[in-house]
Amino acid sequence: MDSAPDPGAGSFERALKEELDRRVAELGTYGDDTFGGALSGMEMIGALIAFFFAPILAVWLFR
Amino acid sequence: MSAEPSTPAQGGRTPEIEARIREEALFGRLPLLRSEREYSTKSILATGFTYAVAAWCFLIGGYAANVVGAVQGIVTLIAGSVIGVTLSSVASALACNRYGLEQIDFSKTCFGQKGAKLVLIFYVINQIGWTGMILVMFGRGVSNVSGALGGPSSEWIVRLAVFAGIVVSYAIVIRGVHVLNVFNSIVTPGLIIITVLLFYVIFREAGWSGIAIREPLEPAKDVTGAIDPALGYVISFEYGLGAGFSWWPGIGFLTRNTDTQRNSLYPQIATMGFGMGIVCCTGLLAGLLYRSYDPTIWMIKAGGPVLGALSLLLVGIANVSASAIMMYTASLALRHVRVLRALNWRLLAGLAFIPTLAYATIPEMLYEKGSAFLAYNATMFAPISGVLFVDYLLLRNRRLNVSQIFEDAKDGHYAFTKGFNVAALLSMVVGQLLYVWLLDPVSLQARGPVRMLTASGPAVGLSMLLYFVLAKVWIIPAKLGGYGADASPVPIKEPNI
Repeated sequence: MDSAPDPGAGSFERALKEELDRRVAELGTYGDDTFGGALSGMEMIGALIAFFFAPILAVWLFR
Repeated sequence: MSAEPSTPAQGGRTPEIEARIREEALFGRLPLLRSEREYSTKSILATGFTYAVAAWCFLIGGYAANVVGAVQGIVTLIAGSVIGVTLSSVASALACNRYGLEQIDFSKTCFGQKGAKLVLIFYVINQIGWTGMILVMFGRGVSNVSGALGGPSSEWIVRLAVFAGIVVSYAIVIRGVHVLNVFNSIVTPGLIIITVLLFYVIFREAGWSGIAIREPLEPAKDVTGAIDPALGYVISFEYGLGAGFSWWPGIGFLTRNTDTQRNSLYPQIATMGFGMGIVCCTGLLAGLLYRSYDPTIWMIKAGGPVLGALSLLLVGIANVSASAIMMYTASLALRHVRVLRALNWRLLAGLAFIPTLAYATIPEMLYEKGSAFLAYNATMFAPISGVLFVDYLLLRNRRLNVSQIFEDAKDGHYAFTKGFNVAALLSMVVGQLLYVWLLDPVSLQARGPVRMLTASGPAVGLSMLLYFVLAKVWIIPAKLGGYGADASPVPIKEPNI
């Protein structure tokens, strides 16, 4: 994030694109269980009840 | 966010290029790998709380005090913040975590490579608007403290302070926001102490029963001019939702750095939803007790000239620090625009700062419209969140092709129609227009069933339904948008990074 003159700008661009390819390839190997497992449908529904419908119910009760 | 990622060095790169690549991964657009994620449960909770306990909470609570009393304000602020953050984060957090993406890059999968740049406009307005608001809050704090200590107090003092705040924020942004780590380690505990002290002072002075009977400062009125408590309640709920939806631009920045899917979602709801809602209640109760929505006024009344001034000083530092972070992310986001990508960082950041000068020119006028800006966040981001929810969770079954997000070629998956997913953009705009028709965020004029259904609810619901139908009958059959395509990486022909 430096503003100094950047004689290596071209090589940085190349390195950035190579790095993007490398990262995209690795990300393509990730599965559903990579980040502690995907949230199941039941868990998503539970989360929506707790953080969406329950607050709406509270607002309705105090209207 | 101080730890260095563990990216292995690549052959032939200088240490300087390697450092810039690391910077681009941590703070820019390169997707973050699993090994680079820094936030575990404990650290994302700490970081989320640092974001949540911000000076604007006092202001948001004050706006609610204008239209509702204590009980209804507490319910609407906490419920609204939780719902707003939940809707903002369900799709964005899960996707940005799984694929290490930044928010606008994720939006490209739904709105299209060029369509996401329209969303970028709302993103940048959010960042610039909040920056301006809290800098004016800082300026008014300076002016009011000066007045309380017998010095001058006028809009010119506010203007000068806002301008000084802009200059300091810009200086921080061009040096890198890492310098704020030391500030934040002082400011966040300080703000927590202020919040606790304020609760103590408020309850010592009036007790719960004394606060609960306080009437709103400027109750909402219907078209006949009669006080309309139901409308006031809905407006306060929309303020809570607006506070929650205000986090939409920041969700990707945080959650791409978390280590699990659950840590990308629940801590955000706990801190930026529930936690922020509680801190907003300080502003609500103080506003009701001291009969002013403005923290720069009631803080001096609550703490006296010395403690009040010290509190405002801390809030002022917090505001300048938060401004720098928001303008940093706004400047980074501008790199999505091709013509701006090649600009030198100082120039790019300078461009992002130009609109904030309006707040140094007409600070009072813009500050008075702050509640409209708060509601604007719900207006803009509620439909966007709804469309993203349908797209990622229901239509794509949580599968994206990351390589194609960085593909600008015309046959890229997320090119849709000339770079725009017209169905998603149309659904978003219809939702936004419905919101404005139900509740004009500027004039607060209400229409239709807004007292029963709110404005955000129908806006989100209609956007979601419309996009689901349009995608099923048009976008997917037309084989636009890469729905159901293989998620394996495809060689990138025209990288857009």
